[in-house]
Amino acid sequence: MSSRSLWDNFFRQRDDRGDVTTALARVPVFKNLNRGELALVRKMIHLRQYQSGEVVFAEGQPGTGMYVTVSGRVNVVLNYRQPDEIVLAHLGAGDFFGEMSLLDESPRSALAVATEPAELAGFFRSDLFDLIEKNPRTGNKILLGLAEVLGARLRATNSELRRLSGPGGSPSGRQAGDLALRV
Amino acid sequence: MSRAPRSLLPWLKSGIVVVLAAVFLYIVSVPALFLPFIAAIVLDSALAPFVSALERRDWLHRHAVMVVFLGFAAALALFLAVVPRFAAAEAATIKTMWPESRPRLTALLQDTEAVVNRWLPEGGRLDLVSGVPDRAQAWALSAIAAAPASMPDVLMALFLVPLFTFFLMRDGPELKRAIVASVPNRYFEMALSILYKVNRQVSNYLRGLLAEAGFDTFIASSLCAAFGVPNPLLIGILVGTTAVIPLAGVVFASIAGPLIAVFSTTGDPVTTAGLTLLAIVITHTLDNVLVAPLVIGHSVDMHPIVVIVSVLVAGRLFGVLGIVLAVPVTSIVTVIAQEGYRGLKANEYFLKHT
Repeated sequence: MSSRSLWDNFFRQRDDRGDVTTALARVPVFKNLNRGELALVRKMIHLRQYQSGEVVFAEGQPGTGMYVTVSGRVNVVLNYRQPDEIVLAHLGAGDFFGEMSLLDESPRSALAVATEPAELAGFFRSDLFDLIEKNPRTGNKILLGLAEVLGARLRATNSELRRLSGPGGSPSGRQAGDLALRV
Repeated sequence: MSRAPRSLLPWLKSGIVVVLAAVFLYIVSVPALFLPFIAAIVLDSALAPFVSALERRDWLHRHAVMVVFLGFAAALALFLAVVPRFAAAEAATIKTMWPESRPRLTALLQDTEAVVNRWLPEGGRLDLVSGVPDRAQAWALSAIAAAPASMPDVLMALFLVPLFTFFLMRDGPELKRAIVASVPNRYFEMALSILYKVNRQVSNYLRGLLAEAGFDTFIASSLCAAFGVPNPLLIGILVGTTAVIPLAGVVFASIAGPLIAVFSTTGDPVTTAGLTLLAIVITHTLDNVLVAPLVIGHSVDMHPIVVIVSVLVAGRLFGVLGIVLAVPVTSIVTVIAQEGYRGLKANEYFLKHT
């Protein structure tokens, strides 16, 4: 990380409201918001610049919120720079990650790293709580969006487990799938 | 307007930060500025829920701030127009009645001394009578003599506190965002978490403290008036203001309150002192049962031993202001230590992999 980021973040003057609001509007968590509510969220988010190879957050770090990729690319990785490194996702403009941290402070389950210069919009638990307090209607819409995203993820996971526990799956996959479906 | 050449920008930015740092250090080093700044932080915390309530009704932040601030200014003006006049009138009765009340105070101290010393061993007996009335008179006279000298500071505070409060209410959120924005990416989430938790804990605590002071003033004044104790407003203000001092405040009020009543009563001093003490005990009991759990609750989540030690150390180092600010400052230090430790542990991973 260079020392420039301090100044760039503090004194940045940008004319990118359109880009950022467009990126936010594409995020399912914010899909229920109207234009005015999106503008409100736009005022609350934190825009951060990352250089290529810069880690956004590390695996195991306490989670504080989610990020939306405004520009550039980000990889979500397990066991970063280890022999058994697994890239879970390649994310581009309009993609989002870390949304589970809006609900609790549990440790990040994977690492996020910028693979090219990227601009990310951070929306954090403190911002969400602030919004729920001052503008409950907008806060509830975001919570509903978040619940829908997590519900979709859960359904996808169940479906994958069902597939693994089916006749074509491996024995260990079947075992895991059976266990998960019983829970 | 022409823009500064690109090569000059780093110097310009550095200059702005140096000036801001110098202004902050100047404010901290000058008590006449620092105390109004602290008072403004307390008022900002107290008024924040009203601003939030208007924002919940779709008011713009600046409009909500303006309306709440004007309401606060009107309430402050009313308070300053009414309360000091009554309090000054009550204080004047103490001065008028001092020649009469001095022998009564001496008699009360003699009775107290006799009762207490009955239970104490020979070597450790108290001597309340000799010197106490003289010391009380000297203290009161020096306080009255010092009052005109502190008037410029008081007038300055009456101007600065509302000014600082208004700008904290209006620009506080932006200021916090600017602070977080200045933090490098690696420590950004940690800084955000610290700022949010500190803000929440300190705001809740200060708001609770202010509510507690107001409640204690009202209840103690009402009870003293109902019991026929003289100078009920003065005693109420004493009980309310000392309520913000953890632990020692109640002890101080329990001693000074009955003394104020005895100074200005024409009745039996023992009964007057007893009734005043009863009013103070009832007020603090109601405070502990009703107010503290509701408005302060677990806002700072600190062990009583930690509170005692922090109050003693801060009192020793910084006097009365240290005692009042000991709990919120210790709470801030605790949050920074906890979050900083967690953040730095996570950063070990950063350091290994970046």
